[in-house]
Amino acid sequence: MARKKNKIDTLLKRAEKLFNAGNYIEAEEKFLKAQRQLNSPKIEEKLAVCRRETNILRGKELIAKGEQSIQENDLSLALDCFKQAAALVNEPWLTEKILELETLNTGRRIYDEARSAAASGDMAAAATLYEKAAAGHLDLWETHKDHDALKKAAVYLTKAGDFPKALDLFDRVGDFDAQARYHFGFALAKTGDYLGAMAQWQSLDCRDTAFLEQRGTVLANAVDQVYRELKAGTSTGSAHESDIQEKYKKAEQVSALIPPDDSRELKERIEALLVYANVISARMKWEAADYEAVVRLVENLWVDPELIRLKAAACYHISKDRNTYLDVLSECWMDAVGTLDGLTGRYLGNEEKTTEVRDRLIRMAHMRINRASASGEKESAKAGFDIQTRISDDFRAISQHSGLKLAVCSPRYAAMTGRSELMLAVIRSNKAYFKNDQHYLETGGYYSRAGLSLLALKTGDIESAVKSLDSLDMDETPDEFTQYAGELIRFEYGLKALESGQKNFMDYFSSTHLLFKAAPAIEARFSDRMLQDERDHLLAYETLTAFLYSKRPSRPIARALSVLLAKAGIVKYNDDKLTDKQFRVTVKKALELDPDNQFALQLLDSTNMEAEMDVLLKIMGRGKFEKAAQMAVDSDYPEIRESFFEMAEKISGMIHDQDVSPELIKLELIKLKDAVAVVDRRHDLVKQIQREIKTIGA
Amino acid sequence: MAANPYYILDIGKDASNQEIIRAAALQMRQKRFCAKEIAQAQKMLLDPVSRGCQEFLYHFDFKGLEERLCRPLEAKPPEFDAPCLTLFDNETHDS
Repeated sequence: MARKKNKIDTLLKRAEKLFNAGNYIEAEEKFLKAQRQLNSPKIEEKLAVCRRETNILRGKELIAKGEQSIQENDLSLALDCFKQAAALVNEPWLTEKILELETLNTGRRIYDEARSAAASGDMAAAATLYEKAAAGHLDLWETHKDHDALKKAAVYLTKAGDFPKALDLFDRVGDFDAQARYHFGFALAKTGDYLGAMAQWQSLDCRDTAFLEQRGTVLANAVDQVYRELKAGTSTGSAHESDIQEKYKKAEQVSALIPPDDSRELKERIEALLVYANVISARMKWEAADYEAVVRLVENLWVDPELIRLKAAACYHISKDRNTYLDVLSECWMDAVGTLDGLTGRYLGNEEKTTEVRDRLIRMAHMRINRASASGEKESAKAGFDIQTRISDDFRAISQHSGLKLAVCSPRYAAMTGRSELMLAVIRSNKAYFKNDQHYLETGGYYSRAGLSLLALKTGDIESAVKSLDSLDMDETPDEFTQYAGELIRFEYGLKALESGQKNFMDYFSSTHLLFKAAPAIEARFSDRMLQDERDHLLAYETLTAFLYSKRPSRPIARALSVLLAKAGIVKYNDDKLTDKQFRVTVKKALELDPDNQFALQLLDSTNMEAEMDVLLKIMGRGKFEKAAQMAVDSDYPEIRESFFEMAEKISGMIHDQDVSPELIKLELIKLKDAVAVVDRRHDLVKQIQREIKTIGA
Repeated sequence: MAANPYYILDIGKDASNQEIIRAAALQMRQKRFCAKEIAQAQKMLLDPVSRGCQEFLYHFDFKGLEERLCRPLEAKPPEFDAPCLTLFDNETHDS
């Protein structure tokens, strides 16, 4: 008995130890064994604690497993776990969680059924099921980020034709794929929101013909929709600027959309819409005398003469107080004034008076530009205006000469409105009018493919000129005007490259000889610059001019090269890059190119004298006085004779210092005296040496 | 706006010389602008060449311009009655 008691005590001690250590599962087991024999209320209490704590532990395990199952999208298992946990622990939130999961599970089932319906082609049934699922479980889906279900629901509602409901669901979708984007756009288009539809479809990179056709139709309707809104907003007469601004923004949005490649008509409609919107806005700005805003809106629009006049007038008003937009004023003024020709009688009903108005308007703009304070823009505007005036005068003269009524337009206006070829045809057919080839080619050059580059060059923006020239496709044989403009731009840019020390400057002169042939005045100007200026980069200019001479050995280039050869020769000689002989050859070459080159002539003269002087000094040094005397007699240079006497005098003094016998000194002096006498027998040095000889004799 | 002679005299583009003179007299009485400005405006508009220039600078036929610009936009495009396409159902075309 005592042994049995000991065994129970040991069991209880073991149970207590486990209990205290928090191992309630094993403690419960031991307490149970003990209770079977002792049936003690105290042990029962312990057992109750153990059961409660064990349930809590199991409940926690089940909850963790349930959460894991949600993560793994196994809603059934998760539901099972949470239900078991709820039976073990008294947590109110578990009831809510179970309800939520049951709802989700039901939604998922409906969703699966909907998918099956869609797979079997029953879109209406799929849509109904999706709608049911969506209606009942949207909030929960959103909580769980089940956007895929939401998207599918919206897509099948679209397929079933229930666009408002589909749009309601699409509004809640955060992450669109191509399928959702297409259907969202489709639903929007079907409900009349064409701009919204295009916003969705714009990012769909799909070349399918059927889709492109739909996209084209929707875009055309978007353009039409914005146009009608804009027109309705302005025709009531009570339009507010904010309304117009809002509609203008829509027009901008439409114009940013890309139409199908082959739809030229649609592209034109989009362009027309933007122009229309700009003009509507410009009208409001004009009425408010906000001329800068007017110019900003219509600056790049050339589609209508009235528009150009509007731009010109706005620029003119701005230039009254500020130096801005002078270039635009210069660019469009002549075109604006040109509209008077087409509107004869509008102002005065009298062509003569119209001409007076035009002339006065030209003078007014000219004065405005000239009166502006000095700036790069002013100079550019002035140059541009002078060109436009000259061209306009030419065309007026041609018009009078030919008896034709010509609609004159500026190069830019012609380019923007597709009239360049027409203008070139007029120029070609009136070639005889122009005073020379350069005049003819330059006028045509402005209307050629390189016309805007030429204008940029002439208004001082050489970088833009080259840039826009480079962007031209010059593969096809260019016409004479384009060729001329291109050659002139390359020539001027080449000179700039040379001056700035670019090593590749010669790349720009390959066809300059053709330019010089067509425009001898440019050649003469270049030649004059070479003749007149003391310049840096002398050697580079010599290289360039030598190259030009090899291509075109004309008189002006020969003169320029002659001067440059001589000047460069000095530089090279001073840098020990030329010997005396090479230098003389260079100077002679310069004179062969231009025998009248005074600079080279003088250079050659002094070179020859220096050469004679060198020889004279050498001969005298060797004691060959007779030969030196003959050289002094024969020389054309008085300097040689002077040097001869100076040397002779020095030598006469030095002879006495020689360590030789007086007889030999006397002989040397006699030889020197005779040589001096050959050159000038009355020279003082003759008597002086004579006296020295006598002294030695005594 | 002060330099706009039409604005100063508060007259329209087609005002006759008589209306210009009458408007100038009225403006002198109302003193909205100084006498010099009113006199200049009257002078500008009574001289035909000067008036042509002012009209060039201040009067635009916005209505006519807008009508011309509207023309290419007037034709109604075809209605969008195309069927819903299925080509996006199995592919990804997002750019």
